[in-house]
Amino acid sequence: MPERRDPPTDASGPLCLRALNTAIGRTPLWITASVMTSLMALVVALPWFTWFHDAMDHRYAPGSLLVGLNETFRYDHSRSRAVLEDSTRSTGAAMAMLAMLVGVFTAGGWLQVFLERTEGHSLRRFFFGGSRYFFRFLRLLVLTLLSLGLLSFVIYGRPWDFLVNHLWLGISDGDLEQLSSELTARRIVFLQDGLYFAGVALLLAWGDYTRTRLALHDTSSALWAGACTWALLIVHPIRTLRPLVLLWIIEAAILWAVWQFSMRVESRLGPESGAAAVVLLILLGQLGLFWRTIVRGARYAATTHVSHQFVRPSPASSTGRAAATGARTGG
Amino acid sequence: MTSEPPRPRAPREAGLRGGVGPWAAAAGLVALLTLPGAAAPGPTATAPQEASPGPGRVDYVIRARVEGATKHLDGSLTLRWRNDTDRATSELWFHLYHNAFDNNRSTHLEEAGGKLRGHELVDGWGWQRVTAISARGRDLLPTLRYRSPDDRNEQDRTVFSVDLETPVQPGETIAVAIEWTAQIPRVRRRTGYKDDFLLLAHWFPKLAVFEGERGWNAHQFHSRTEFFSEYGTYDVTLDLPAKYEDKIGASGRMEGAPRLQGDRVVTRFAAPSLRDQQLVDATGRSPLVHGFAWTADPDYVKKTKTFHYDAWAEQYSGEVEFAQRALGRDKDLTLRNVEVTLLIQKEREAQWERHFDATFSALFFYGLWFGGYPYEHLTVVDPAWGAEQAGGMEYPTLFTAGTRLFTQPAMHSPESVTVHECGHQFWYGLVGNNEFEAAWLDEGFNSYTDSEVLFRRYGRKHSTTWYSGLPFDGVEPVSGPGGTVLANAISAQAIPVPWLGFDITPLRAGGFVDIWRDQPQLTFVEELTDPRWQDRARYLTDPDRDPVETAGFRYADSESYTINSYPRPAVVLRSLPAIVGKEKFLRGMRHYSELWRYRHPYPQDFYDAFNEGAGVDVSWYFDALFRGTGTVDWSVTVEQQRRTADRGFFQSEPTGEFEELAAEAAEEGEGELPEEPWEAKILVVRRGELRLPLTVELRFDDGSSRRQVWTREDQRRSRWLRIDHRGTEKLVSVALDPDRVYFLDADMSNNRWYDEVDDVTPLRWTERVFNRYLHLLHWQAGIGG
Repeated sequence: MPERRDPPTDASGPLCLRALNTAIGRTPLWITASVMTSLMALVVALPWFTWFHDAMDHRYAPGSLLVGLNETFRYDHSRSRAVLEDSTRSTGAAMAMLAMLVGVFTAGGWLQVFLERTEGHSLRRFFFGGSRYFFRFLRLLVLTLLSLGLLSFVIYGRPWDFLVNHLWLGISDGDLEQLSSELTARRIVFLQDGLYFAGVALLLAWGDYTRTRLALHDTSSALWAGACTWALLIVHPIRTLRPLVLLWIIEAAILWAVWQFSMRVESRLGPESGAAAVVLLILLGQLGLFWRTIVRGARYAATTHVSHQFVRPSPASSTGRAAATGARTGG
Repeated sequence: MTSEPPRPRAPREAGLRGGVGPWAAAAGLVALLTLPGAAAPGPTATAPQEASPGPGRVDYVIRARVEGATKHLDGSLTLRWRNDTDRATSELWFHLYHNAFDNNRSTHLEEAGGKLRGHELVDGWGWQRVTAISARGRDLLPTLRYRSPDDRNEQDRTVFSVDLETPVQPGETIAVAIEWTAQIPRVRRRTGYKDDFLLLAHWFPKLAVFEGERGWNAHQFHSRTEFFSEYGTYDVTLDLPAKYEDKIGASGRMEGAPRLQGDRVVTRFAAPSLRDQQLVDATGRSPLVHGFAWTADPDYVKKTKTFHYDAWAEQYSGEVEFAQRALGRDKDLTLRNVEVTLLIQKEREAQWERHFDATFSALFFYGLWFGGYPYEHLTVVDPAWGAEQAGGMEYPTLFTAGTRLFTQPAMHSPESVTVHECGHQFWYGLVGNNEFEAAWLDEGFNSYTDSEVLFRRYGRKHSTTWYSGLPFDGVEPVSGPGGTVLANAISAQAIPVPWLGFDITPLRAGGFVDIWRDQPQLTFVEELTDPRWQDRARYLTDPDRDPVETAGFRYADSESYTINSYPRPAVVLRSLPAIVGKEKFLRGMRHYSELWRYRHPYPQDFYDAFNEGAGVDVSWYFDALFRGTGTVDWSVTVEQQRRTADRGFFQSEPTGEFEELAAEAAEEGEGELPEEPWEAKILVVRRGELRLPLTVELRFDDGSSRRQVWTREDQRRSRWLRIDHRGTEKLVSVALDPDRVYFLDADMSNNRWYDEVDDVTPLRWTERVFNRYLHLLHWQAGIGG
């Protein structure tokens, strides 16, 4: 599929939709990123096919476990399943670490392509960008994890326990059962988890803008770029965060639609169902992943556009030079 | 009926066998004195027949006052105890259950490791102290001694005895007056207070059970045991702060209206109700109870609804028809109306209908199978937030359920606990087994029955995953990354920082974040559980360490107690119809429950009654499964192939010449050999000690099938059974126990064989794992960029 030209930066319409449009147009990129994720998931999933095949062997009526694993199957195979679960969790952890590194890489790729406004050969520029910014974004990853850890400590650790539980609620040891109402206790949990959710979302948005700034300036200090990004978010919260929030909403809506389709397929599963239904579920899963990857790319399209308005690229950076000359890079 | 073997004996302190003790006097007054102030327990019962309920009967008149601020209780009671045994006794033994919570050296807390239902006790202690006790005009307080018959723990104050000047002779009644004071504990296990919520159970000095030759059965209050007391009646007057007006529930029924006296409210209860005490139940006996519990909370919402048998009988006409057939056409199965009062917390009021539905389910099915609930009233309690430890417990004509916000009926919560605790009105409430020594006679029987009820009424249970206190239908098909220190670290969930002494948790679990991470609607799988098969899974977690027939405090540990008291007896009972048939099973259970109503059976009593009622002798089954620790694992393997064609030289008739058959056949069939029949070798193997008759079913590709039974006798001779098949029809499946009547097999994955292999199902479940990690890893990648 030939790549579409990125829309002009002064195009009208909501930024989130333009960013989506931009990302969709970069088909090789989101397919490549999705394939990377799928391959990692496949590494985790493949042993399960062997396990199920061996567990079922000639022992279960064909189709009898297609819709659900009954109580006797779950119990009878619990021990061997637990062993495989342990192994999966370890493999999954390795894949999770790899996924974070892939995320670091693909972020560089997306930004390289969007900042250059590459025409054609974007996959090559994608890989170039991924390797170019890798170590800078890796340092930012460390910073992000530390920030998330701090957030986790504030929301779920001693600060919360002192300020909320002790000072406000008057309970000790975080024991919400000392409250007189379950609804109150639930609301406290909702507040706590809600704040954590907002904090994580904000940190991830901060990460996207910091990466964009690093790429724009072509600098290496993740700390300084991070500090400047906080300032930007504080000064222009609506213009910076609104497109990302809207993209998140669109992503949630797409996932909801995928879920509806999946539910229909699942509800039709029966002992007589063939492999086609399962393949359809796999395809639906891939569809969901494609959209999420597109949204990931759209986030960078949006942060690029917003950053252009507030962050003056350093003249020494390639994007700065490109902006100064109005030139477009090509393959 | 078989001769009764000796019942298991509880350890006794030396010299206290319960018969005539050292205080026996040569001559004395046997006058029964009624102390001033003690009211008669309502109108005299006029039942046409009053069968002796057991070792004795005790009637209480109790008055108690509770201070709202301090939760201090002052009480006085008069009890009249009739010795229905053939032995005299010169002692009286009592329980003071709340002294289990007086300090951390009580037997209860020592056994529990200082924790009750997950909470370490550091405050909220409770105690009971008898300040006066007298009988026959004599002060018995100087003779009061605390007893520790089970473990000789001198710090344990949950059992005491007093000595009588003259013994209580067989058939004699004695009146005892007691005054006591108590500090109500913070509710940590079953009983106590939390803020203004009160749930008082076993809250007064309670007479133990005198068993004649066996003496006084008065075990200490262990962490793993429950209760045992005598049947009788209760007349209780409660004096509480006025804020509890109309928010009090108790065993039996309120008699008269509450009386406001200044800032106090005085309420009287009778259990059974005064009206019930004048009636007889379907077994011809006057209803009795063996305990009295009460509750009060200003936040209760009170709702009342009446159980009507007819509506349920119409809906479950098949069940009624079966019971009628099994128990006899002339058996009246109609159940009386029961008024049910629900005391529910205001914020959970939306679940009120579900509580009634679950209660009515239990009243209907238990009553249909084992005999009707004989009282006119039942109270259901939803404990306050923070007092869940008071939930899930049974008392005569009152039980506590317990729920939480946002549950759904498919989760069987609170349906499961409600059915179970209501079920205890039958097993334990009406058939009063000794919960110290044979807890399984109520817990196991109830576990069996409640699973049957739950499945009939609510079907299979949906497993849920909770996020921020909100339930999502389904479970993850596979766990997320982590599990070890290294795995948690590299996936950024918990990174240890040794020199700081704590972990950094960038991606810790956090409610709404986890929803976005997991995408449960897309990646989770529905998990349904039949509660009857769940009993099997629980049983198999510890199937053979202790026999079921073990005293509650004598099991190896709490896990063994739980398994052997709850799911193991349940699966044993559930498998019994495979031996005797469903109708005989019901007859046996019904006969036992009716015979031992308002009495105290021990295991042998059950075995005898069941055999008598069912009309079969399955003592061997009870011996193997309740007294033994045997298990069973049946397995089947199959080898099937076409019989190889005849090849080589065969002598022909009548010449005796050897001729090559294959060549001749090839000539006749234009090069093709005729199709040979199938040959199958089926090997059934039994592992484990149990020998139970086993049905083996073979099915063939022409639609035919055949069954045969591998008998116990055959299994005695050999641990395996070989079945050979040869024929034109191909074997397509072999099934051991094809109707799934046994719930005991340790491994059912080897009970079936199918010719066809399923390739789609492994793909389907692999897709679930793949999809789960697809979204998980996408989320993880987002952390990096």
